[in-house]
Amino acid sequence: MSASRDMSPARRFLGLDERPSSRVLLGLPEVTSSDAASTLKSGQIEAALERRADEIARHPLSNAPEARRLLAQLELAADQLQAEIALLGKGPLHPTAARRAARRLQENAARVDAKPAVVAPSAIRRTGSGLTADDLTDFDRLALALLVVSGGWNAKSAKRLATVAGDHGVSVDDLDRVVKGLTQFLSEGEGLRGTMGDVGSQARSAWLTSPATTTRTDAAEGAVERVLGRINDVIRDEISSGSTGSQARLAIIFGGVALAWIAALAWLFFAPGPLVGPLDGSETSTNGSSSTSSASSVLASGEGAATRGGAVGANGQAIAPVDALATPAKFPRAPGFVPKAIPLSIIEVASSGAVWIGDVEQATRFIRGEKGKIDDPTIAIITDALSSASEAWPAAGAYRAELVRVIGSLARETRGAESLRRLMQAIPGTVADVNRAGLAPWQRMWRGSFGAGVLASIALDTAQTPEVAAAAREEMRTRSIAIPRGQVADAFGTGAVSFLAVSAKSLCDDMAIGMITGLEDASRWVQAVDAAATSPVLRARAANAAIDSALRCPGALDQPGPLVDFLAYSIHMLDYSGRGADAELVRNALSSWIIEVGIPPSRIWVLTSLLDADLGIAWYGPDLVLATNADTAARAQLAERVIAAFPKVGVTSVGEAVLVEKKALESWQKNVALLKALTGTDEAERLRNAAAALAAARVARGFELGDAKVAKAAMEDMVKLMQREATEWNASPTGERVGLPAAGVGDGEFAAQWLAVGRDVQRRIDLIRSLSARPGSGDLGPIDARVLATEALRGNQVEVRQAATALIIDRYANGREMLRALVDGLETGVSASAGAEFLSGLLSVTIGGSDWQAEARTRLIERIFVIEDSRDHAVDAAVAEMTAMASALMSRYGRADGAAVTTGGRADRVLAALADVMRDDAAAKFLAMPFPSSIEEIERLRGARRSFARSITQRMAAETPAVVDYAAMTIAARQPALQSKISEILAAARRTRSTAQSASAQVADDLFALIEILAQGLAPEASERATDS
Amino acid sequence: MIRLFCRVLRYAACACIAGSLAAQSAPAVATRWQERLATLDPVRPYDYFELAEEVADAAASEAERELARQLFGLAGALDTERLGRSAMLALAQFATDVRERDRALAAAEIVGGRGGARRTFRPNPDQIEALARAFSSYRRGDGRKALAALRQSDADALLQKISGAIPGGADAFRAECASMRSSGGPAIDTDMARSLLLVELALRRGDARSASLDIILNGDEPLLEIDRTDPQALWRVDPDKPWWRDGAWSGNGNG
Repeated sequence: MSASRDMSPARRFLGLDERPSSRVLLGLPEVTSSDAASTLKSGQIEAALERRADEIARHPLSNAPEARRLLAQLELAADQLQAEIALLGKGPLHPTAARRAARRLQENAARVDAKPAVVAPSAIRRTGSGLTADDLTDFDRLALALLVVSGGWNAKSAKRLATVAGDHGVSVDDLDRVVKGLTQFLSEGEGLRGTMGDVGSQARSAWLTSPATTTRTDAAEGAVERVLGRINDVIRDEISSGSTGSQARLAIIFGGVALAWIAALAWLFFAPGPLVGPLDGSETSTNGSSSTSSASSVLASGEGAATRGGAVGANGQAIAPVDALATPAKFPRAPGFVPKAIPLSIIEVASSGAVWIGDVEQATRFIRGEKGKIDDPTIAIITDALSSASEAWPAAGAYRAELVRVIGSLARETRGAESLRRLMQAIPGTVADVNRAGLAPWQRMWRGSFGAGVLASIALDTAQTPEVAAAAREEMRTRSIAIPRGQVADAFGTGAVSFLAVSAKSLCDDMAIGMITGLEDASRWVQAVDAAATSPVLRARAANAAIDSALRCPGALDQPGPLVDFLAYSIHMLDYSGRGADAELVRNALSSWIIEVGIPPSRIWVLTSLLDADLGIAWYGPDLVLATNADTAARAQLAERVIAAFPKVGVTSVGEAVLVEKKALESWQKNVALLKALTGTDEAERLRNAAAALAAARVARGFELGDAKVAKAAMEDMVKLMQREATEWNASPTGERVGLPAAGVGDGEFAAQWLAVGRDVQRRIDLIRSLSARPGSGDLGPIDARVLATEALRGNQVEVRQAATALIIDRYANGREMLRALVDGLETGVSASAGAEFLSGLLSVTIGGSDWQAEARTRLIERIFVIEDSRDHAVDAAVAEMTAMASALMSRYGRADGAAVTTGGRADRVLAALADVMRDDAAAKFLAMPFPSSIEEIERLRGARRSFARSITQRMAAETPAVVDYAAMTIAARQPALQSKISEILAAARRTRSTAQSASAQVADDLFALIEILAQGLAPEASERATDS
Repeated sequence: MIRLFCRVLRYAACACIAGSLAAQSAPAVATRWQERLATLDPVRPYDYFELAEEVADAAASEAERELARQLFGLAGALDTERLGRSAMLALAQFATDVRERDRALAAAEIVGGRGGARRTFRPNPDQIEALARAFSSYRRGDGRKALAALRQSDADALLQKISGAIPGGADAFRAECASMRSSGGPAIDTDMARSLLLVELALRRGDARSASLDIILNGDEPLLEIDRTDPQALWRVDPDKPWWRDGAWSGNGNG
């Protein structure tokens, strides 16, 4: 065995001597003449290389590292010969050789450029066993040194490596790859061959000792290995020498070993006492079997202790999962996407929904006339209508439901097996239909899901005859569509979603293998799910299928790309609050993915990292991220912890209330009472109250999410808003102050003097300069300001005009009367260049162009507006606070994506966006009967109100009723028994709106109603004493 | 004193005559449409709507217009889902003032609209410039020039449209301009001057104006709230009395 290990790869695989030449290595004839290379061609060398590669491939050890190393040597030899040919300029280079040369150059360049000190395992594999210590980065060398010094991959080396990785800025996932790569590097025999000094030269003693001190066990491990290695060497030398003395020594050694074994066995069988005493100190058993079981139980518990902790290291020993390896995955940007809008062409197709319905109704009449038989013209009408519908059904809105209804009527009229067969095959989504050439993947998905939905709606319709239902079921079986079982509320949605769930797998596979590189198909999938999944359970089913597919498909998840974006979106589709109808489904799915051995831990690491990164899942923290090296036990532990952390909803007599820590709830209730007691005498106060109400709603949302930080921050915002003084609200937003005229000087004095001095330039300049001598003067009276402004804008004496403009810029830039005089003086006869230059200097903005006067007027009035303290600023400040509070609340519904961008900071738009997210949240809840009305009706009324809103405050007031209704819907879904109470609150809110004297009052009153409704869903958490009692 | 007493008596007599004439006109109208009215049945709400349209087309008196209003109201109340919006739009045509018309149009949207018709107020830039010149002239005390500026680029129409934002309204502004001497001193009512400046700024900012400027321009009027749960207030009829019996609306179809 020792001889075998010493044999060179060239000898083992090719039967060659040590250190053969390149030609011999490749099996090419040796030549002696200097122009030998001329006898070779590039293609011959490549052919020889291929032959050698074939020989190696046929060898039983072709997969061994040595084989790869030999292949690398062969390639090197071939390259040397190719280089000789190239230098001599004899013949063209074989394409394979050229490609190989280019690859080597790229690899070398990449090695030189690569700054991150990480060698990925894949990179090591790519270069094969030809990798040497020279290829390693500084960090690799250091890691290798630590691995060698620490005795391989174990808990000790893992801790040390984690520390060093932190020092080098190497992330945990990269560290995992480095360790795997270096382990392979070591296993291939590299690293220990003459380069150890070099490898270890960078290691600092602090790195080797700082994380943990060397234990006695660690020291003993090394000592035992050294002793056994020494014994092995001695025996090997004795055997190989073959002398008489050696034979005698060997006989003595083996005799001694045999005697020792015999003694050990005798002691084992005939010893009077047990091998190991009982752990609990109870009476010692004399039964041999019980002694063994005690021993084994001790061993098992020891093993358990080791393996319970975590994974088995590269060296086979049990190690704890390394905490640092469980750092959440980081991506250059947050994974996820905003579905692309449905193309206009599809929306146009969808707008002809009435035509589809009309066509199907017409076909129904024809079939009725033919006594249930379907003729060719009728089937053509049906096919055309359904084909068109299947291309655009997710955008068809209410037309889709109506179409499904009339298809049901059509099916009821159809008689006879042949007619039914034709009808079923006319429904889009047959194998031939979805595999037509020219269809995009998403079009296949839409057609198939529409067909599945229609077939399911017919198959599960109790009003259909058994013959028709059987035909639909048969067609579903033909198309491999799962037939929904049990009680189904929405047959179309169930059928369509089951098809879309299957489609998610092919979508993920196509993304993984690069067939799909964008997110258009994913967007269409999302739109189809949104249209089909009318209940949260259906939506969760689709999202679960998507997540499952993404986790199981072969594509990389730890790198940015469409696959991880799709995964993140699917994660976001689920409701992790524990309050939805799909809570159990989501909880079970999460735990099953974590423990599923078919999914590698590195993929679960990405999944759990995305869950941690999702703002909408407050309870999921970084402590619930799976380590990349987690073993089965660690995964099971994590699954248990996730189930434990999954929000549980307290069940009260009226349903599932959100349990809140008593003091926090009391504090919130007290502040809400104070808020309602605030005055609302003008717009600024009413809008301030609205902003504070939004902050209060965010506190309630924080309670719902179980996120104390959110609740606390929102409570602070609420209190700050309520306590802010009126002067703060009214203050100029820029902090500037209005300039005041000098005290003791009457308005008109300057104007009179101006008239008196006539047109004498010097006297006029002196008079203007005298103004600057007035102490503390920041403005003039209206009459004087008018005179000076006229001179500055229209004066025809250049020196005088310049003196006037300089004085105004210097002293009166914040003078209200002066600014007004300039606005009114801009009317006529102002030189464009001089006027624009002067006003640019005054206002510190560039004013120019053909409409400079209009721009200058705007800027001047803005300046007047800004420098004054007024209630107008209070209104704007309150609206800005409303915007901020609504945005913050929106982000607590998990919608932080670009809200500020899409709303442009406008309060009415932010409120609209808030209503949208609350609608989405409410839509995920289950209600047997719509309350207070259906989402469609709430949206219709919202649109109607928007249509007759004329001002910003009215547009706000158009959105707030929907916000209130959606909050009511959510609370009622959670606690149905509260419906009557909530109805009273809603009725009171309606009355208050009707009698409100202003739109701002309507907004504030609506948001007060919102808080009142949210308060119904909160209940104090039982204290420990109360629980005990 | 006696003369005053006689005048009161004369007015009272006129009122009595007018009342009796109105009382007589209702049966007269009813007589004209009696036959059709008697056939109306709440199970066929569309008949009410059709008849309402016919009555509205042929209406020659206030009594007939009132009858048409009632018929539209009943049609809308009896089948709000199908006829509500159309009936309310028809009722908007009978409105006697802008506020009532706005209410009817809003109600039409609430009962059956989808918010398709959004009203936006975007004045022409030339209108704004002319109005700004008028404001400046006013502040300088040159009323004649201000009125001349209002006549340019239809600025007067814009002034009328934003009348609510001008202290005292558009008419008061015009009257004040007309009363100014052309060479008078500047108008120094600070509040008025400030208001006009801010109105101008609000107009210039367009849709990007801040909430405070928007309130200055458009006010903070409440958004019309239509209570659909109160059909009598909404339709101004009693939907429990849909039968025309003996010249009046009745709750009993058998008379």
